[in-house]
Amino acid sequence: MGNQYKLVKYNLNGKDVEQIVDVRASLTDMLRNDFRMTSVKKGCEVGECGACTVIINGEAFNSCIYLAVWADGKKIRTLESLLGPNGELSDIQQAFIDEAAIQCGFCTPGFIMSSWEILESGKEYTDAELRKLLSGHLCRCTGYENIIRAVKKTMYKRLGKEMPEA
Amino acid sequence: MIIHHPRTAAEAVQIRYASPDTTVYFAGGTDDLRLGGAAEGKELIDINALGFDTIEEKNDKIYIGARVTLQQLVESDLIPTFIKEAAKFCASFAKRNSATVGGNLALRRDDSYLAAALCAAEARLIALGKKGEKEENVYDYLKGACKCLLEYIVIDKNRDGWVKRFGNTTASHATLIAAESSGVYALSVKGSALTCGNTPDLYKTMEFCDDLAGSAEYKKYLAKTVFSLRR
Repeated sequence: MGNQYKLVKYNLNGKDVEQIVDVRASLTDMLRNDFRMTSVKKGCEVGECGACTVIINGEAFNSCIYLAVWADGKKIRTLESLLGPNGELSDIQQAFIDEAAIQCGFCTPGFIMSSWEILESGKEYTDAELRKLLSGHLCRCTGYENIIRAVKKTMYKRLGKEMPEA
Repeated sequence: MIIHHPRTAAEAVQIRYASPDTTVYFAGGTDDLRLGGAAEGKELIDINALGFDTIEEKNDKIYIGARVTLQQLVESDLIPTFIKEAAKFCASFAKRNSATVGGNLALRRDDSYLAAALCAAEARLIALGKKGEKEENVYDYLKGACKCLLEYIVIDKNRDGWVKRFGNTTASHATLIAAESSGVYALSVKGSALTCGNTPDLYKTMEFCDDLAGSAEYKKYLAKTVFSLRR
């Protein structure tokens, strides 16, 4: 059976860290409780709402259904890592503010982390594709339109293209 | 909850057979780690160190490792389009990065998009049991309980087909999934067992039930018409 506690070594937001965790703990719990990464929200805890989304080795994952011990040897990014050295907001964060894609803000970190993977792909997506890619996130305030617009605006900005009018 | 970390596939199978009532294999974790998941186990056998996570082509066949994620399936150039489409239906983007093909099949859900598509594609699977490795149709595997460890799902290269989903909303579980490939038909209906065969009249052998996904009559109507409408 083996020990039910394990030492996990990984890179969190560019910094090498280590932590002894219960092998049953979720990544959400480790990030929030042990490292105070409070951008990682605890929502549904069943992988449905997307509020806990983080980037693991470049891909978006629901951290609530990802074991903390699986983080061993991985590179993990949370929303906190998107800020510049002097606390500047990243382009996608600024776009969420500019487009009023936020109300209560609970779902926002998750949306932004999934958007990060989408934007990093360097591909141009249609509105329908963006909607599908973000469909794993629930927002009860905004009605999604402004969120899609913020992601789309950043996508076109990064691609160096004009955003077509809706 | 206890988590085992076997180092070989044989070791994983040994643990599973030693405690068949309390253990489950544990890969992407999207069902094992969620509340209300269908997998019931007090002991998880973590198979993440065992490989089976590649998609390879050998002799005009595509070998899909059971630990391949649904997103890997969607992004692979080797996978037929209709199977990719079925994988896309299964879960959201972030969840597809975790959820595995083997896990999806092992759940034996009556509304599995992927199971219907793979059955229509006459997919076979290679699994490791107590008596060694065995190969069988995905459809046969889905009919009964099995303690084997899934290793690979094998499909023909360039297999053509289609898959269609009916549901109350885009977010709700499907009422019916129909798939067809090279004259093989598969129907997955909520509340009924998955059915597969060489005739589009599969509905004649099925029993339908009323539930939140729809009435028995509605499901029967869909099952009766879906293949002729598609043709």
